[in-house]
Amino acid sequence: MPAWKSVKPLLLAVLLAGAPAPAARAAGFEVLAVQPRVHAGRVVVHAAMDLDLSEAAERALVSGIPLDILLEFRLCRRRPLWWDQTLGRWTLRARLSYHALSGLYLVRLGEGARLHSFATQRAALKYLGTVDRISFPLPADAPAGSAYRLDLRVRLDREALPLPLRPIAYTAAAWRLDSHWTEWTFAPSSAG
Amino acid sequence: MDLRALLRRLTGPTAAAVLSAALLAALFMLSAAAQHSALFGHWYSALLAVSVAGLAALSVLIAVNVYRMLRQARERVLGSRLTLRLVLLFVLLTVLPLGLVYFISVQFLHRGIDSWFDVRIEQALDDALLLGRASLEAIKEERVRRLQEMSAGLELVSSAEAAAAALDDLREQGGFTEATLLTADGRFIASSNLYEESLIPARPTEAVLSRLRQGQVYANLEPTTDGGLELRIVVPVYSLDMKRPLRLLQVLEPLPLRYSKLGESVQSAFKEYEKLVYLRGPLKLSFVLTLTLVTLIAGLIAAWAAIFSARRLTAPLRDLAEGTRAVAAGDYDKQLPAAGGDELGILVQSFNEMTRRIREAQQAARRSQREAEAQRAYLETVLAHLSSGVLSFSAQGVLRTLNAGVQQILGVDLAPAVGRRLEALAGDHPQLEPLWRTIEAAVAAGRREWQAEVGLFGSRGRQIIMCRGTRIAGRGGHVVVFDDVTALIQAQRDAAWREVARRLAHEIKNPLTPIQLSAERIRHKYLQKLPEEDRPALDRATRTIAEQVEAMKSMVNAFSNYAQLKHLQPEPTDLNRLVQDVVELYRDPRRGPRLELALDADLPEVPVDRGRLRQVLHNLLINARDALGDGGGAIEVGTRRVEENGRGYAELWVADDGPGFPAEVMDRLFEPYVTTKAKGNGLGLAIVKKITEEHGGLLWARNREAGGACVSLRLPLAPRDADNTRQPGAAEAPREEKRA
Repeated sequence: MPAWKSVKPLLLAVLLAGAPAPAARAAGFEVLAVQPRVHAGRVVVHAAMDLDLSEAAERALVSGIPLDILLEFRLCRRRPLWWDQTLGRWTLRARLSYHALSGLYLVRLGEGARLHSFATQRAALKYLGTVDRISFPLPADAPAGSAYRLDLRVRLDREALPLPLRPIAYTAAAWRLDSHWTEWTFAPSSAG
Repeated sequence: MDLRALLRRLTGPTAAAVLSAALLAALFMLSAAAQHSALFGHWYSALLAVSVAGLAALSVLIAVNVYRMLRQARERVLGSRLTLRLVLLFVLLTVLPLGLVYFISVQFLHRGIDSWFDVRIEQALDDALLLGRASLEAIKEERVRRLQEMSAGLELVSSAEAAAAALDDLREQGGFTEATLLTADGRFIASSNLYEESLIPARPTEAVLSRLRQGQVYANLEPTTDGGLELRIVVPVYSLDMKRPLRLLQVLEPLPLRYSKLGESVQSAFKEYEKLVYLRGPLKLSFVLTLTLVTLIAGLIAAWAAIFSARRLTAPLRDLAEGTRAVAAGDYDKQLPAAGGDELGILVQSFNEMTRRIREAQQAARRSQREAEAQRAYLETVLAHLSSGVLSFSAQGVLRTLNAGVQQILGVDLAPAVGRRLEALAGDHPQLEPLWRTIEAAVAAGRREWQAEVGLFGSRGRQIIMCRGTRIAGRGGHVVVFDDVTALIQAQRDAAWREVARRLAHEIKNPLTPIQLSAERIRHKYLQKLPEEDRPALDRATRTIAEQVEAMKSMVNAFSNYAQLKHLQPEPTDLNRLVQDVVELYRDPRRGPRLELALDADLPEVPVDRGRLRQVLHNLLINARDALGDGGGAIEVGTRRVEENGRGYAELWVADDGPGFPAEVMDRLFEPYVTTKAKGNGLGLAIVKKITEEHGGLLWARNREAGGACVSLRLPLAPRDADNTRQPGAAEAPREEKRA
């Protein structure tokens, strides 16, 4: 019965919404290393990430649905005996898409940035997973001589997905690719 | 506001209305987001979450209301079951068509979305893509051959400057946007760019470099940032000098506009179709989700509306039921809130009008009752202060009310007898039996008004009661008013006798003296003058006149004594001693009757006027002696103490064994001038009766079974002595006797 066939995934999605993600999830994003330093009033970041798409995400990608991957940075000042002070947040949006005519995977790192083509998805993700010399301005009110902490998280922007896909992306485990926050403490004086 | 009120407000109709409105707005925006993603697309997830949360809140709200309704139905709250029934009906009427529409819509949705896709279109798009790729491949191969030929010019170039110049020429000749000479590991040697602002040439990827190091050629179409397509071709540049390292020539050539547009068109169509194919499932899911949300929200809003409407509908009925119960419980102040202008409203209005009228009637009844109570209290006060006794009886002869005068007159508390019938009253109070019999006879006769005189002999001695009865009009029953007229009758009787005595003295006694004097003068004047033979006749005549006059004087004097009103001077008297004193005067051992005494040694002192009681004894003893004549016989004088109706009496009797009273005078024994003796004046027993009554006593006479007469009298004892009376039953009730 078609009606039931349509309702069934809805019910499954609702039931699975609260279920924990499978323990042996192969796909997902992970921050491997972050190397921040302060140079000339800017925070320069080197980061290495392991980005692995799930089968559902790959299928969506080759079906022409671009995936927006967000690199979220959070700079905090370390404070003893107290919560750290957040000095700034930055988000870098990278878009991964597939060009069917050429059979290439395209990566655009940031709005209006240059388009990079890759013959394979792995190559494209590897390129995306290597952040080299991305910099942000150090806030003016950041006290000198303090210890800082840079947090990095990489996640899939589900809100950038087409509308019909969002309920599934929010509820299905295959679309839970987000990494945890990875923290890296550094001292501006010693680093740079 | 306390927690309960807050909870009630949060689960009330206002909260549900606000929530429903918010949900409808969210649904509208959700629908707008689905249709125009640019407008509300970024709110889609939030709207979805808000809708689901609102749905849950509405469900909780309805669940709370349903729970309340069920609890009220269990507790049998008025109107709750009807409300529940109406809600079920409304919900069924809503859910059934809604469910039908939902399932049909889902089917339409499913089929509609499936109809978008066609295998032939999909194949055509695949073919178009292959065709495009093949076309571009041909262009690519041609460009590769051309570049390989052009790269021959660079084989001899060794310096960077020369390479740059050669690259400029090559770029211009080939129409490339960029030409770059690189080492095999990807380092730049020289470059030429059409756009001077692009200082850094695009570097081939490691994969491309690796491929070229293996002697292959790289050529591929790459999308540009501006949305077009460009050809990236990398070919190895071999040098004639075998020792020189391999170099790479990379050129970027924009695809001709026509090819670019065609390629992009194919790419775009294929991409959109592929996206649509991929999103077919999610699209259905999304639509079904939205439809489900809409259906659920519509259903829940309908359910809430059903609850609200059912409550609104049943509220007047519930109010009416409560109002009816209140009226049944006697609360006539109940007014129901207005329920609009429909039939229920009219019903409520009628109910309010009814309770208002009942209240007014009740108030009027209360007023009347108060007035009746006041009237009753007034009458009771009047009756309580009446010296007359008032008794009221129902039509069936049941004693209903009495006033204080009853006890004052009768000396009996009849309050406990209220509610008892006349027949029973006679048994309860035998001393009042003549009164009850009189009333009973009057009630039975059904006379409208009647009057009777009743004689009682009770704790207060002999009483004459004047009764007047009236039948109560309408309700039936009788009212009996009576007065103690004993004193009045006695006074009237005394006055009558005094008048008789006065007249006798005046009319009879006064002429007697001249008669007597005249007779003596005649005798004195003519006795000596008459012849001897006539003298005895005159002597007898004058002597007879004198004797008769004297007799008449005696009779008049006796009568005067009888009629004379003397005030009693009662004093405690030992009745036995008094009897003994008087009897001794009549004791004659030689002749005359034998006198026997039967005196009660325990007889207490009796309050009597000794002189008058002595006269009673004289009269009775003389009567007894006269009755026995000279034949002897015995006279018995006795006393005893008796108890009757709770009152003590001293009883005195004088009996003889003579012929007894003749039957023809038994009824008139105690009237004046009634006598059986030849010489008697007929006042003896009348005086005895008079003195007895003056003492509040009772007198009766009878003939003894063994023969002879017996006259008895009872005199009431003083109250303190009455308390020490003997047990009832000691008295012998006189039979076949004449009582006075």
